Amino acid sequence: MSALAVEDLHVWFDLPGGRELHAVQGIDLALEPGERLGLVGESGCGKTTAILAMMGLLPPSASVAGRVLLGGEDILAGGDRTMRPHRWTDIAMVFQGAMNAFDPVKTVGSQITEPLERAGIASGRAARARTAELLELVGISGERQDRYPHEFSGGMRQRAAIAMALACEPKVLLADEPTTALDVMVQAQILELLVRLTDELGLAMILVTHDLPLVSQACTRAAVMYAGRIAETGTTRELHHAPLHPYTRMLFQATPDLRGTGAVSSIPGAPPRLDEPTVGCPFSPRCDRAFAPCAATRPPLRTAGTGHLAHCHLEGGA
Amino acid sequence: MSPQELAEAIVPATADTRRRIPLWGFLKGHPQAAIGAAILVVFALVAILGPWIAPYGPREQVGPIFGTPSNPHPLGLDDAGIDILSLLIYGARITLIVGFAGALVAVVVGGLIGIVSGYFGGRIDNLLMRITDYFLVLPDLVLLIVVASIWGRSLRNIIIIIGLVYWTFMARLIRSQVKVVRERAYVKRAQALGASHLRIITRHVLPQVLPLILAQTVLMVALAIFLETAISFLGLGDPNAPSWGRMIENAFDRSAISYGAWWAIVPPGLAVAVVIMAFNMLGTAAEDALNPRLRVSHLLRRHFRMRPLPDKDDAR
Amino acid sequence: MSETLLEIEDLVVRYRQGRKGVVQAVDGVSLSVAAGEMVALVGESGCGKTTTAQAAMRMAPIASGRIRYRGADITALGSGALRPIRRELQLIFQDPYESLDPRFRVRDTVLEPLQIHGIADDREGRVRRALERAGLTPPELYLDRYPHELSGGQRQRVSIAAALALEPTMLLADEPVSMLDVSVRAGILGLLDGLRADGLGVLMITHDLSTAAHYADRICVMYLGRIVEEGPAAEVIGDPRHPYTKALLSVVPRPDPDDAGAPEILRGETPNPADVPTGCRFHPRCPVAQDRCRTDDPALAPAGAAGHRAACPYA
Ligand SMILES: Nc1ncnc2c1ncn2[C@@H]1O[C@H](COP(=O)(O)OP(=O)(O)OP(=O)(O)O)[C@@H](O)[C@H]1O
Ligand SMILES: Nc1ncnc2c1ncn2[C@@H]1O[C@H](COP(=O)(O)OP(=O)(O)OP(=O)(O)O)[C@@H](O)[C@H]1O
Ligand code: SF4
Ligand SMILES: [Mg+2]
Ligand SMILES: [Mg+2]
Repeated sequence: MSALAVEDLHVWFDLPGGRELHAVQGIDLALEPGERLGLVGESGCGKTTAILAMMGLLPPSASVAGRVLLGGEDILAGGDRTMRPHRWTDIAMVFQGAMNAFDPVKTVGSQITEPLERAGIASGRAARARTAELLELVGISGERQDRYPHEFSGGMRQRAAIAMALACEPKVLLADEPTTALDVMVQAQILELLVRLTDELGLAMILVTHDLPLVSQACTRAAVMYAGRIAETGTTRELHHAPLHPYTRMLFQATPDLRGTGAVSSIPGAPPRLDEPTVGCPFSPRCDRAFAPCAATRPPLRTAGTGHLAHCHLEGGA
Repeated sequence: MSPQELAEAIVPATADTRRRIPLWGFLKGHPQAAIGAAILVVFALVAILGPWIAPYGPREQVGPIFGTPSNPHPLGLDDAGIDILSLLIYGARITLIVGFAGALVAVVVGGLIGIVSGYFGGRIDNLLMRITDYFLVLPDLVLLIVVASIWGRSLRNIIIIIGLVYWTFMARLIRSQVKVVRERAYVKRAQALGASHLRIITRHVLPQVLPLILAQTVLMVALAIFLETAISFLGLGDPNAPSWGRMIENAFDRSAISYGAWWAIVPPGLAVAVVIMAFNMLGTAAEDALNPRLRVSHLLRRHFRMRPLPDKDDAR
Repeated sequence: MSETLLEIEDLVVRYRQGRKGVVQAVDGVSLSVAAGEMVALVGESGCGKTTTAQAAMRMAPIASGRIRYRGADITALGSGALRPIRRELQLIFQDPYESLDPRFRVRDTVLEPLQIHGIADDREGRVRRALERAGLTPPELYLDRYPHELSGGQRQRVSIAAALALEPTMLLADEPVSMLDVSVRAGILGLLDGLRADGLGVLMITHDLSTAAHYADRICVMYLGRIVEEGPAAEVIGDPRHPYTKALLSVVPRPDPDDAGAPEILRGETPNPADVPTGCRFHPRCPVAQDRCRTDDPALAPAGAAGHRAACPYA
């Protein structure tokens, strides 16, 4: 059974003036225990919103539909009431920009210990010991828990943020842009840590990023999001070598490769606004292979082998 | 590239915390600011229209000494038989003028020193801040008495005294703000372009700290009115200007209490209190709106709603 | 051989930290950029890339060394004498969210350099052309907007347009694309590449080696305030000589999942410029360090093909 499955998840945000922004427009995902799934897409395509919905952490201006299945049980159905028992204990998340969210006047350790005590997991000396253990798990010496955030480098703060998410031994970890703003070497260290954690603890992970090579190297499967929908999902190999959706191909073409010689090309234009319904394929104004039906009708779901799916009018790949 | 760029141009603007706060929205979101502003509008109107709405002149004896409140004189008469309501109306003028002018002196002097100090830093900063510290340790009361007795008792001197007492506070506050703005990348960018200091200060730094200065000025007016009242009460006020403080002092001086003439003291006292409170309400609300402290993260409020799935739109 | 525009020679920049601490942010950097050339300065966060660029603009405290622009020494010029140079030498700041004044409309931001340098003729036309060159077309759509009404990519283009308004001869671009989506990156880099082909000198700061490999003519790799390897881009990427460069290249994620490479992840803390190790500054993290590395501080020396130099005796 999947560790986490998401079925037809929608999220709307209320906007001033009675309008609505349809940030997530029906996505499906499935995650096996120990699996690393990449969730990629441009800024604003709804990646953060989607995983916040899986955590039940959306603000009052949001409304949600769909199912979030944890070990077969729909934890979204009852709203916050059914989410709360699972949040952090079964499914945990590392927030986007978490490494900059530490309170500068409290020690790093105390910021990990506090939630432990509040959740009644451990207290006093036991909580300190658990904090040290968590820090060791992410490669920081436990003695450093009495240091302040500014005494940590960016990479160490990111490790501490990961340690925080692991406090209650979750089975699923949602990591939102865990390496953005870090340089290559630190990024490699954090990625190695996340891979090790999933391998050793059997943790299933969704890695949210807009960096395709990162997903290619760290994940076995990936979902490419565009304008609140999943444009294509498949193994990272399939996405790279035989994409079904032009967006996937164009994203790869926009990514310079260290030793690649091919031209790098930007994707012209910008994603559609999400506060108005789109007609046809949302990518059609930017697509280099768009043809007559693209602007008129919603593209069908195409498959090429198990688990390789895309929403596109093109037959036989992009 | 242009048709696509056109599409890009229609992308909705992302939310930005730096967006200006419209006045109306601000008053709506801060009821206490609206109340404060309403009170101040009333007092300002009274002060401006004083000569036309005051029933009698400020020096006109219209009845007996300490005449009790009655029909033609709802607030009674003072020790010289002058109508207290009229005095109160004329006093609003003086009090508000002194309050604003005193605050203005403090803001201009303090602002100038704060900006120069914060912007240039280094030795200039050290020197100016040392001077500020001297003024800071000088006891206000001593300063007051010395200046009043040397320069004499006049409205102008009271305004200068108020400025002298409060500019240090303003200077420190603005300096710390300017120091922050100076480090912003867009100020550095202007420097890299070769912009003069004057240009950077007037075009990039000042507009950024101005809202804060305005909010502080409002609070400063409250302090200045308080100080004016205190100065007058100590008998150091301008003998020819009937401010509220002077009214209170006068009443005490002429033993209104032993006459049981509470109406000579309570109305000006109340007026001072209400105006100070109003300035405070407005000022603190403005300050609050300008420095939003860490608001509770939206992540802590998770009262999202569930709704049914929309119709499948695949056929569209 | 085209004209050398910017020359940095033995630059040392120190910042005071706290009461007595000193940070040696840049410690003896030399590099030069010629007209029509794009030089990439790469390295880890905190290694001194931004400081080098700001010192070249005379915006950081220079402890020693020389900055020359078109042969003229500008190291000690006063702000008045610097103004004409600041007209030709433009800096694009690292962060597009910070480097635009939130109270300035796009028009005012792009106009400002013209005002500062007293260029009065055809201001409107110059502003429009700069916006068009930066890919903000048609300009009318952007002229009256505030920064918060623009996307990150558009903001970065506005700051590029402002830098182009004076038609500079030399551009220092500090991480011009690191904050942007991959879909717009290529557009901005293509723009800089086109300007370079028209004779602009570009010093591009980045920590993205793939970008440097793709667009730069030469690459300088910086480590803890020093350049430890430099050479033609193809040489540095294809035949790296310094162990630090090798490690850096090995951890760049590749888009092809089948091409994992052999990442050589360096351990240890991100180096601290307030406490530079003795000998070779890289030795505590170096996988091939020998005894002499702890004591001898290697200088840049020729390694591999012509113009390729590395600061390691084992290069
Ligand atoms: N609280 C909110 N109220 C209204 N709209 C919102 C809210 N949060 C997000 N949005 C909008 O929803 C869309 C998706 O945002 P989201 O943060 O999920 O994007 P993302 O894919 O995580 O982007 P990024 O890569 O920039 O983090 C955006 O258009 C955003 O403007
Ligand atoms: N104004 C300053 N005062 C004190 N130290 C500074 C100052 N500016 C930079 N530093 C220090 O100098 C060193 C080099 O900083 P610099 O900003 O040049 O690095 P960088 O290579 O641009 O890094 P990044 O990739 O993070 O932008 C850092 O250790 C930094 O902490
Ligand atoms: S459906 Fe058409 S427009 Fe959309 S991605 Fe496929 S080919 Fe392009
Ligand atoms: Mg996000
Ligand atoms: Mg930098």
